[in-house]
Amino acid sequence: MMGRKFGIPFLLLLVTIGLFILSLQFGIIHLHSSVLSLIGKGGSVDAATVWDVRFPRALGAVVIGAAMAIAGALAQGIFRNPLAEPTLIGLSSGATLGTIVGIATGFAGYGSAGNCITATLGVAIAALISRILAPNKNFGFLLTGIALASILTSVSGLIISVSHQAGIQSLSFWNFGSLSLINFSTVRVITPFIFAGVLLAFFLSKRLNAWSLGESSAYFLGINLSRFRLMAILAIALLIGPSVSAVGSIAFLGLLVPHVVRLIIGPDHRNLFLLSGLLGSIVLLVADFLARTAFQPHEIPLGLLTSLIGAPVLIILLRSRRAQWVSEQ
Amino acid sequence: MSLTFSMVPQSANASSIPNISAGDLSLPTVHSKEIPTAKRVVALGNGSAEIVAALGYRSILVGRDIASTMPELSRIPVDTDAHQVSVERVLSQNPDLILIDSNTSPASALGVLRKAKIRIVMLPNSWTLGTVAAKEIAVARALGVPKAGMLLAHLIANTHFPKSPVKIAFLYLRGTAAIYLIGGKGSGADSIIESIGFHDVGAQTLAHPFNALSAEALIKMQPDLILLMTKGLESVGGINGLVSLPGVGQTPAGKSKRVVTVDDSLLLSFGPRTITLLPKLRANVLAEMKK
Repeated sequence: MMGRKFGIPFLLLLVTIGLFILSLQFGIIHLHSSVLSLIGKGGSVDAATVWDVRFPRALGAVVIGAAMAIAGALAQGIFRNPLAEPTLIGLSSGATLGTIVGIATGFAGYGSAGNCITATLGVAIAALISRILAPNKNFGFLLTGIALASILTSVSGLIISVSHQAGIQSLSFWNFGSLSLINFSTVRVITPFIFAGVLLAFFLSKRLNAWSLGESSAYFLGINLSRFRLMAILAIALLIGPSVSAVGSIAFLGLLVPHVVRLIIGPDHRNLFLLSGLLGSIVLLVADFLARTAFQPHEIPLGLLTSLIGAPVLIILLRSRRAQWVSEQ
Repeated sequence: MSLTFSMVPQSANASSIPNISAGDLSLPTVHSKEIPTAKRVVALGNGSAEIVAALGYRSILVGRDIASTMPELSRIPVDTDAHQVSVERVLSQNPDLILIDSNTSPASALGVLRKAKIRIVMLPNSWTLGTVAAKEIAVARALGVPKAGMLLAHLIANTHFPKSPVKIAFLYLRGTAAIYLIGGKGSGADSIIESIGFHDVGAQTLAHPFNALSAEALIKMQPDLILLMTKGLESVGGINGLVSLPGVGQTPAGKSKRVVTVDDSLLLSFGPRTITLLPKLRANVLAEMKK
């Protein structure tokens, strides 16, 4: 048991590091030497490409991949719905709207801390709205989320089409996601928010385990339910908001990764968060690598790739009995 | 955790970037004593109103296209809504000649105008420097003033500049910054850049007019200078926003902030004003290269 408990995270960590180095080594520009020989060096085109373009981008993939996967695991836990993926249920659309309102009003520019805050608020408000509209956790919740996502995305599109503010980006950037705008300053701004969200998620993991047994068992274990729900929503918002404000929505990551992890290690939330974080980083590193190299010199939106892999998984989940593992309670 | 509320950069340093706006260029005008056969002209073809004015017959213009933006034409009504022809507005001006090109739409509107027995002349498109003269001559013929057409076309035929080894990339930016649209062969900008003696690095490697490229593809081109449209630079938050985009800051152009901008309606207008644009643009590029 010990080997399984530490072995899998260690293995995933090694894979993450390996992929990270590969992301630095390969791209459109062919480096004249190994990336390891460029450590500590600057000046050349190779060094500028690796340290100023590829490094922040790979770092962004690790941080945001982990954030989106953990947010998915957390959302599925707190809403007790295996399909509660932040993009599907409108939370990412809330983040997008929050980001765009921040930019369009001139309150906070793209990539600023202010923008992380407006995006975080956007997620929290979207989550609260969907809880008010569909308090029971069954299929109606998912449909409500889909309708909410559609409304929020339309409002975002409306604002984009009339705004002339710099950095507002196109709706396709926000809907399909891309790491292509990531630089060091963006990573520096979003990481503290996401780190706070990860800590809060781990802090809630025991209560989530109790909660997943049913509302009454959580109540009898002395959990203050409304505070617990609010904290979980805050954690999701801190994970999703800053991520989306930097790279747009990346669909299905939060669905795909936690489900794969549950198949491997079961439903305990602490392990689920740890492994989902690692696997999320891996998936996003791979997806971004493909996005920037598969059709070079052209770059394709990242979210297209995750949707191509993720949507079939959603269909499989919808058809399998496993999908009912919590919603029937 | 440090929270800094940075406001949207309002192109603070834009003043240091040499820009050519529509008002900076006068419209070269020719004069001939010919009397035009058309008396009321609606010019809907891209930039055709400008040509009518440059031929010396602004007084017979009663309607224009949205792309003819020069201040001298501001009093003439625009007959297009978001690039769509408004039939009612055209008819209300009672024209006897309508100039169109292959991009004039919708087809249904043109059908109605044809039924109204108004003479409609299709102009050739002009997306490169080499075709400006042909378009000017076509407009002159439609008006019935061929001599004026030859005089105007002659101006652009007589422009030559020495070669200079400056590598320029033309970026088309609209805030959708990360995936750059880089001008390749046939973007229009390539013919401008080459005609004033510089190298268009996009056109040298890319076969399509506009190409969605990644940061690394831009680094690979290593441009010395970046050519942008004025609003394109504004849409990414000015020069500082531009050089903070991944890829731009790692090129010689980005490192030295060597950028020149030209008004959006002017750069690819390929009309009479292009001839006054060329020497100004060349001078701005050479001045930037001293940075």
